Amino acid sequence: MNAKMYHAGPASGIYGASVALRLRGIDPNAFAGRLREISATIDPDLQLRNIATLDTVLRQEQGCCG
Amino acid sequence: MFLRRSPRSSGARPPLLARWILERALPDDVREDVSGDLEELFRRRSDDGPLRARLWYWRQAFAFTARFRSERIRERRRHMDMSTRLSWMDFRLAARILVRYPWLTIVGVIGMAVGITISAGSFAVLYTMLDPALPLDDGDRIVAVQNWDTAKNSAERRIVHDFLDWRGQLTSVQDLGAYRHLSRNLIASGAQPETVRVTEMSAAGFRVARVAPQLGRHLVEDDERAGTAPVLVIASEVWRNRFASDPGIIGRVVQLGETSYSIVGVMPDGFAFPVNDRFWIPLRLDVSLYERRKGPSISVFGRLAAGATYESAQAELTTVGLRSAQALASTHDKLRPKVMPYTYPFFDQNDASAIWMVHLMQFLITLLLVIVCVNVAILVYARTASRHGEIAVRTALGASRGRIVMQLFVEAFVLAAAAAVSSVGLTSFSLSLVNEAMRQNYAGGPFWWNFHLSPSLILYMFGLTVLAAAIVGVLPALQATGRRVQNGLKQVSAGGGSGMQFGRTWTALIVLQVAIAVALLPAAVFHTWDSLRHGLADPGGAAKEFLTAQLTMDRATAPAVTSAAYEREFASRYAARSGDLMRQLNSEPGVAGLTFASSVSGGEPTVWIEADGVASPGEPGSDSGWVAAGTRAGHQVRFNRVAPNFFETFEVPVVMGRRFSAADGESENPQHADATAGEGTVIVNQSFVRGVLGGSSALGRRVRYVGASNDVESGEVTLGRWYQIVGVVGDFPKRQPREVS
Repeated sequence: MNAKMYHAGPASGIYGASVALRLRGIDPNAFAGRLREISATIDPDLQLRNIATLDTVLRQEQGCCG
Repeated sequence: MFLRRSPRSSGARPPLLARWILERALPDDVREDVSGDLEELFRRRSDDGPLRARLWYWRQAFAFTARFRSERIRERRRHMDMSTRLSWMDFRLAARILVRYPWLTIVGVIGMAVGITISAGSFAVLYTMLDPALPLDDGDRIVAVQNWDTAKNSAERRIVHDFLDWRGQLTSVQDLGAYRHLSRNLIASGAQPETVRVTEMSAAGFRVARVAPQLGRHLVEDDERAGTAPVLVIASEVWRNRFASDPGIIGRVVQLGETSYSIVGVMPDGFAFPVNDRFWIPLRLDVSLYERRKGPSISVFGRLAAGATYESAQAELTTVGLRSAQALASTHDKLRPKVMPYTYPFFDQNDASAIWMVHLMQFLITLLLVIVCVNVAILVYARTASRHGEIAVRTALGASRGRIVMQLFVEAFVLAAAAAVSSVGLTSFSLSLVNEAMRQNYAGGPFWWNFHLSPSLILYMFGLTVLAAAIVGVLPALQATGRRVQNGLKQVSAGGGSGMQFGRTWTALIVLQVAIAVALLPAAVFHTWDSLRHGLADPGGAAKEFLTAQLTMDRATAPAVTSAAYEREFASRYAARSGDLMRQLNSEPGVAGLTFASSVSGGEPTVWIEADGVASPGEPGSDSGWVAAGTRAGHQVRFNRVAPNFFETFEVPVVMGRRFSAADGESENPQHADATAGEGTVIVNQSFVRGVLGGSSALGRRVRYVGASNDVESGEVTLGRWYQIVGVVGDFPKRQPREVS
């Protein structure tokens, strides 16, 4: 089933949202630490879970290739 | 040396019963002589006194019976020994047969190896998960205690009051404790912040586990008191990897969220009780804040007291539970506390008596091996049929049926043993893959879920090998040496017609297995190709350039009972903080784009929709999710809520219509009173146009939800509200998750 419907989300964000950053010239895995650091600086209660590259997430969703 | 018959005859007759016993015991070839001689002597003795003669006859009958019976038993044993005794010659002959028929050997070994591996792998996984003995000191006496809701047929976990009641009343379960998991940001100087799973646990957990700390101390009851300084115990692995084995770790202060904790202990490697844990803080429960069946969800554990059994603990717990049910009927009428092996709830096994279902599951999986073996047995029978000359010769030389069956069993056993040896390697490899998959996809899985080759598994595999050999060897052997076949072999040896032939049963089995193989092959090829095709497909959108994460906020400072005002304040705080995060990330060098969505791309939840003017295919999948009562049938699609710049950031092309605007997003904002008023807007992908609309024009068409799966959070979609399609985008990601049937 590939059929999808998209709704617009509010600009103020969605609780529990999946955030995606596009990085150029930086290894995404290396940026994970910086991402945590920024988040903790803004608010120690702000949590980032399941940090991974989109490629890894898609492979896991696919159940393929580790 | 039998007595000569005397012509003399009196009217006396031996006792009938004694004579019957005697004649039953005597062999056919001497029965008449011995019986006649004894009768003659009896008549002679009868002249001296009939009673004495009868007694004499009884003695003789017993003596002859005993003698011939024991001789017969000895003879039978001798024969059995000769006919079934094994020697190394049998095994050498069996090995030679395997070499002589290489294709049968290859097919048999591969088939049985796969069958044994599947059964053994399942045995290892199931019985490791359900092993009632945790790998801790006296681990089989560590128990879980649940309050079972008989109305919902599930465990009630909001049991802080019950936990304290049980702790005060139970004597058969000691060191009763509880735990729950939290997610906290670990912030320590000199290390990057990280979101970690923290276990709030009673100090009793460390006593139950009986593991001494590597450094410092573990939690104690005093730590659970409100007002005492917050303390933290960490795992040795954390001490090494996050704190570089800091020798001054004890007393070091770190932050978990907004709260500072002093590290008081380091637990040794391997300790991960109660589930798979690395950070432990004391569980502080102020029950005065909660009503019964309210408050945080907790899991309760304990250790059976000396002399107590599961039965005695359950009896005591039942008494306590019934008292609660009577005294607190409004909340506890349907609650029944249960005690069970600690491992069971982690496998949704909430009743020790229901363990038979696991045995049944294992039995059914083992049936696969039986099916494989029956197929191999057919091939072995075909081979045995081609050896009828050899069997005829051995029979002619005096080999009994048992001897030939034993030889054929040994041949099958050697074949099965070769399969078992291959299977040991295969099973070990498969279990390592399962362990790796568990680590990747279920990192928080219980610490005892570590699958490996154990002595019990090796023993089980040996049992499977014997079973396989029995099916592959004995069934064809019995068929090949049956009386009908034996008669045929005698004709062969006498120069007559052919020997063994396939009967109807065997022919039907062969036809059936070929039919099944032919029927399954296309499906197997298609499934394999489908998996490979998706696995090899380009995910699109330069997926390796994107870093994704789920953004949430800790509720550590939330009051015990939250109000609507608190929830509004929390949502507002989250919106402000996530906005700050987005702004700061956008200004970071190297960040070329930033967007968000309610679900990660490729893992969107399922919904059912109705499209205006398009016939719906069938009823919504009520078996895999909820649907609104009285709604019409719908199309199954996936759903996502995305930021206005989502398609732009992922470079997903807009095929028709337009992208979302900020106004579209605000009209969907649940904080707006008119969020669900009027028609909303949606964008669909090309697969939607093809699959749902049959390729017809999409722009301006209306759709509405008629049902949603359990993955969709409450309030995320509005059933019945019409949405107008304002745009069509390309499929993203191109590689899709496989369907789960």
